[in-house]
Amino acid sequence: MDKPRLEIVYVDPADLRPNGWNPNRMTDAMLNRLRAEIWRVGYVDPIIALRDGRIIDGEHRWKIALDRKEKVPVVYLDIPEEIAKTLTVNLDAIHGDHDPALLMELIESIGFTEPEVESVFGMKPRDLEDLRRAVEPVGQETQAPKGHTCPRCNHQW
Amino acid sequence: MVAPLKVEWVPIESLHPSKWNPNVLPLRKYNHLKRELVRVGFARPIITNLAGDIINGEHRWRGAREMGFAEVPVIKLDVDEITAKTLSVNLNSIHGEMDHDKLALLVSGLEITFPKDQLMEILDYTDQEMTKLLDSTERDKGALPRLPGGPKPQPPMAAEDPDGGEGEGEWCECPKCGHKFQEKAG
Repeated sequence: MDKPRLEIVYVDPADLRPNGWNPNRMTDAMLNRLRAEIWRVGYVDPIIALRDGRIIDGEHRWKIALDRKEKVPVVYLDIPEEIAKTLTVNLDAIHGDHDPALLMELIESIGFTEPEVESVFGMKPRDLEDLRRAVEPVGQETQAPKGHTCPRCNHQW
Repeated sequence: MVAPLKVEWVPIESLHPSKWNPNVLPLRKYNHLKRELVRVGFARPIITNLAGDIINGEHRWRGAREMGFAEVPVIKLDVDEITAKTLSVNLNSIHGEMDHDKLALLVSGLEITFPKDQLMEILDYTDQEMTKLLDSTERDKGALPRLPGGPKPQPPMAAEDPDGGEGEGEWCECPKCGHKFQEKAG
């Protein structure tokens, strides 16, 4: 299979449509965060779609664009439908998580006020407090990096 | 508001991880990611600031580097550092969840196209995970015929994961002996 070259075009959301197989769903709260983020910075991550307009990844961004009646950046992929289906799954499934300590460090480095943290990151003061508690050393624990110990050979890294 | 997006292909070494990326990817997912890069290439461009600090896609960049890619697709955003940092967080944290039943339906449909072993490889499912997913479709919907060579039904797990399967520990591979194991969550 030829590897995609990825070219971005701005299209009318009416030219795109859901694919009929998307297993991804978003809570209303998350959808509101996405809407706020698009209002704040715009579309920074293109929607991925098949040439015929079926969306492989980015259905929720597309819904918001429909509401806002504005063009969206799209990358069209020339791939068979069955490959597109596997991509829909994998693009959703392969993502990481935030390391609490690194996230806390990032938030502190920006110096946002609590209302700013809530409006930009969707974190309420309580969430921030939970994060702070998760990061603070407990008892005699120090800031030692979170390591792994192999249960088979006891190697640590 | 960012300017219109454009994809450039740039030498991989011209980009670098940001100093602030809080996102971590378990080894199992990282290995899956690398296989995806080989299978389909980049479906989504990396996002950086003008200086080449990676805002989103550090693991894709690392994986591509390991797999010997010379060039990678990038969208360079003209944003200040604070915006770059906030985007690093939000591009990761704003995402949906898999609807279990819809996923099971999709995967059982794909089982017609792909040999089971290949499908498990593509989606990075173990035999047990695949069986659990597909069996639940049949149990819940009662409508899908079992495919020849399909998974055998298994009794339900004695203790269901209280986190609904999302909170399982991180998969690790020991760099010394290669043993794969799941870290205890938390």
